[in-house]
Amino acid sequence: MTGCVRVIKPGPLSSVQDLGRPGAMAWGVPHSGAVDAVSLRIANLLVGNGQDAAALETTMGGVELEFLKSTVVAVMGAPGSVTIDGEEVGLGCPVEAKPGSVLKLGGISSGMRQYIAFRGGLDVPVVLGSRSTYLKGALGGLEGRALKMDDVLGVLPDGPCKGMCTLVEGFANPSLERDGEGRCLLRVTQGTMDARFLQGEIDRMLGSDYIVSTESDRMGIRLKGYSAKHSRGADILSGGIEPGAVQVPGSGEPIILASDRQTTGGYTKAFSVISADRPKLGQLRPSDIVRFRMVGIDDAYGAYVALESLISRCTIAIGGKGRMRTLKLSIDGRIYDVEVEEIA
Amino acid sequence: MDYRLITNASDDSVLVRFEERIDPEIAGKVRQAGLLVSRARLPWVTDIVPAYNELLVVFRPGSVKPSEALLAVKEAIDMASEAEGYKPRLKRIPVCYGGAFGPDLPEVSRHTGLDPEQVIMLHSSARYLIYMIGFTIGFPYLGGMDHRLETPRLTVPRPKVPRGSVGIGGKQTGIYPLDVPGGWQIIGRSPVNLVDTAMMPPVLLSAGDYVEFFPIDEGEYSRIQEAVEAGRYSIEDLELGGSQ
Repeated sequence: MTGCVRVIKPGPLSSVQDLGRPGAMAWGVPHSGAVDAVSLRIANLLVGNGQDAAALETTMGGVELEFLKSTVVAVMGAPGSVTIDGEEVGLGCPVEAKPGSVLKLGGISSGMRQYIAFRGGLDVPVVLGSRSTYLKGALGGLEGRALKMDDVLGVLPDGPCKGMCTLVEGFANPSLERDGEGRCLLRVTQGTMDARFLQGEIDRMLGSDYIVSTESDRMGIRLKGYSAKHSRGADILSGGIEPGAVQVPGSGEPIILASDRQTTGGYTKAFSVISADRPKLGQLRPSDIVRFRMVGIDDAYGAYVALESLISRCTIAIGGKGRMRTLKLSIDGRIYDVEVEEIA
Repeated sequence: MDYRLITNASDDSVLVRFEERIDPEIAGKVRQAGLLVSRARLPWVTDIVPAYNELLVVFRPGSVKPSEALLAVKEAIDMASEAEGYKPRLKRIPVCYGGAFGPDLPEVSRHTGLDPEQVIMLHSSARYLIYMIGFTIGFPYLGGMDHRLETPRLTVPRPKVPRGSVGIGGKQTGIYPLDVPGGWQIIGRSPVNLVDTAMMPPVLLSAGDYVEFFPIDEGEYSRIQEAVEAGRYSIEDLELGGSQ
């Protein structure tokens, strides 16, 4: 591996992430991966990577990187200034950075996280099937930790890469979506322990605005607001934690479990954020307002299929003959990336 | 199987819940359900997570309709199975009790009114069932501790408990696979590695199996530690045979 980028400023919290580490829960190993997986996937598509390549997850901007060799990069996620050698390049635009160039992420105006994808994908060891960093367990990524000044990261050969892409005109990142009143709407499906809450409490949670607390991290988003009342206390026999679970500990204020969620837990759970809306968790910052809305399980599935379709249609190949589309094809439960170029 | 509930816990998971109590028999059913789901080789399943009275089956979102996943899991565990049950294995883990490795042994002795030697004898003569792995990587939730050893947790948790530490927290006992903050009374330490991400599986212990601890002295601790570091130490798997 030859060095590709050197960290001048790591920002408040930057770590290597891909789409996470499924299949390791039974060993007590959390899923991890990009909290806003949609932005990571799109950033990868823009530089010609597979959607699951490892990229840099940054928090609240303030990052500076120096390139040690020519590298194509793209940034997606929270809106804010992105410059290369002082020139604004913006989000969603792949750029070839020259050796000695400096990429700067300035302050961000809304949202929380940005993803910097590098052509080829970041080269850190694969641990249990993933390059994602699990910070609390010091696992994966670069030595299992957040990046610090003078760290040098390499990229993998770009042989398997495709051409660069740009975003289709008018594309709006679903992870940053807000309703008319500026709230982040999270769709949820029914939980498995309604009887552990007093009658009507789940509905009261669904009818309340919640404020994102400062005590939120990659593991969980803590919310301030209506305290739900339990029927038989908040403690349960510890059990596996389903993706998207919204825990309600003794305080009654919910915690939405995110990427680094523990695999098992002993608190009651009210409902589960649907898979299509989980990437929005990556863009929640303290004092944002969150609202839950209950949907049926089939609608939740439909929403995920729609999100996949949106991602497959959101980029256009640069210099290609026609519109490139990447499709996700599911055959017998295995997912294949299929690329279609419209040349007629 | 006589589960109480089977339902989608999210659009990418199915939950099977059994009677709510800590009981080796219930744990056996959970383990058996997990084995049946695993044998059904459902291609969209990513994780099968057994716990005290629940089995969580997680799948890739969008790869199967949640209602179809529910049906497939239900079919797998409802199959009147003549297949063999889960054969639990036993792992015997060496522990150096007391001294610098077990700073809270005197406190456990004081609280329980037992001599330190009796504490060690009781702790190392039980066979513990691993109900589940969770909390952190490779951490076993064990059942079967002698009630005479029950000791409350520390009032102020330690910021860092060294990996391999063996502790008592209330009615529970366990072993810390990694350096983590913890509030259990630490009575000893094992030189054995419970987590090695380069190995498959990456953790020594799995739910449904059993653990015994046996006392070693400091000299033996050093010898085993050296062997572990040189990659020359492994813990033999003892088959207990039959379904539990």
